[in-house]
Amino acid sequence: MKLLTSLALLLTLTHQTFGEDKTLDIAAAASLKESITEIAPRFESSEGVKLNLTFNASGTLAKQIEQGAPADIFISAAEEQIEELERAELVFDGSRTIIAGNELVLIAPPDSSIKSFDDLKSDMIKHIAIGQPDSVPAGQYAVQTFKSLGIFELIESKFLYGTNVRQVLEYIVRGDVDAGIVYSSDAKAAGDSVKLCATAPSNLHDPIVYTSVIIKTSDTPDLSKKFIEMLKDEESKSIIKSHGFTTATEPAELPPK
Amino acid sequence: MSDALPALWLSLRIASLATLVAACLAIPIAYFTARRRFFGRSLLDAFLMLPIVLPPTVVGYFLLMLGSRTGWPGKWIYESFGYSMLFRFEGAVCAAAVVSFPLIYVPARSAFASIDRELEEIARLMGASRMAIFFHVALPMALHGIAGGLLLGFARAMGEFGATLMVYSFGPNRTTLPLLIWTYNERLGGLLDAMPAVLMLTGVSILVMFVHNRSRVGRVD
Repeated sequence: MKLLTSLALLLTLTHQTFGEDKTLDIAAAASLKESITEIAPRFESSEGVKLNLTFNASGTLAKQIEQGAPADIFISAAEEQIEELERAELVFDGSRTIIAGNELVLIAPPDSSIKSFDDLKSDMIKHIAIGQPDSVPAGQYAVQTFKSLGIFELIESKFLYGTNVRQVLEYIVRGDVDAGIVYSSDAKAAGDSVKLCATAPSNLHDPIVYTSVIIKTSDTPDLSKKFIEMLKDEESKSIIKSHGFTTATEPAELPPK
Repeated sequence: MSDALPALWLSLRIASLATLVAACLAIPIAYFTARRRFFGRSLLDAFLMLPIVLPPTVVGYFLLMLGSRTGWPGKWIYESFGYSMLFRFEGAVCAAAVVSFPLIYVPARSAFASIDRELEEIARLMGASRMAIFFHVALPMALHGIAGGLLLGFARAMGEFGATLMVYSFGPNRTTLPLLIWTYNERLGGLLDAMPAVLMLTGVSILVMFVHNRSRVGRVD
């Protein structure tokens, strides 16, 4: 019994020491998974902090932050979620920073014969996976693109919603869905397991920009600022580009057609 | 509200068909296992009751193995028959049928086990075939217990979420009521918008349980 008490005491004491390590909670759009994960270790070692990374649909993350989920930094794939958090007064004024851009692409399983967005109208295409427009920016951009092309009404009944853009990608990789809309960076991440059929001209949808903000409830705003600064330095930029994103003025390294 | 009504209709259609399918399997099997002793019977019982405790995501996973082109044996099924139940109405019915199956099986099994065997034996002596005994002696007598199971199975099928999400997914005008409520939580905006859907699902569930309980009270055991 004495041993148990001293063990418990020891554990609580050591826990307190570990508690002094700083952590940064980062909630980022699902498509940024590989990029941020690659950039993180550099920051962790240079600042001596631990980064907690959560990747999910921007809408889902915004909703969680609204409900009190801990986050220091939020990186969204669309304006709407940032504006929503600003309305809820959860964002530090002036902390908005654009860190990357992206393009929207139409993908299909490797053996598909789809060549263009227009092919989606065909009866051969039974299901089209897009992110759920209410919570997934990629889905919103997809709907905008279809509406700009005038095919939305014709294909709406074929939509299958994914809870985030990576799930849409997964459906295509598995070959269970005939076509899907994801970012070019996602297509790149999937490599040969998907066929890139077409890229949406960027005038067909709202600009796809990834905006990072610092959440007001953060107790480490200066550290957060440092991380966002690092996201914009040369090394980070080249990592981001290598995963198929665009950065301010430089074009993406698109996957080969 | 405009989303909730189509979702209610879809859920009602899926749940009704699923309960029918599950019943057509559960009731005969329950009769068989109630009547015959055989090696591994308890194991079979346990297996058939699994969906009660198995998380719906595991049920969904197994169905994905059957339906997905990269699943096993899904791959073979697709290549041989060119068919996959994924994202199709049949898939949703399958998911709901699997989870409601045990809720029909268990009461049916217990109902068959508790009826007087003598009556069946008399019918046998009088020359009735096994099918006739099942339909004209056993089933009518076990009907009360089975009906309770059907109601429970239906309620469970109405509420199916996890496996349905994995196998059927959702989309415009193809979202079940439980899934619809969940999507409201994912979106920006008020949870209040989900109220009509929540009330509908709760209402249906209360109604079913009410009928179920009413039919059991006053029953002399």
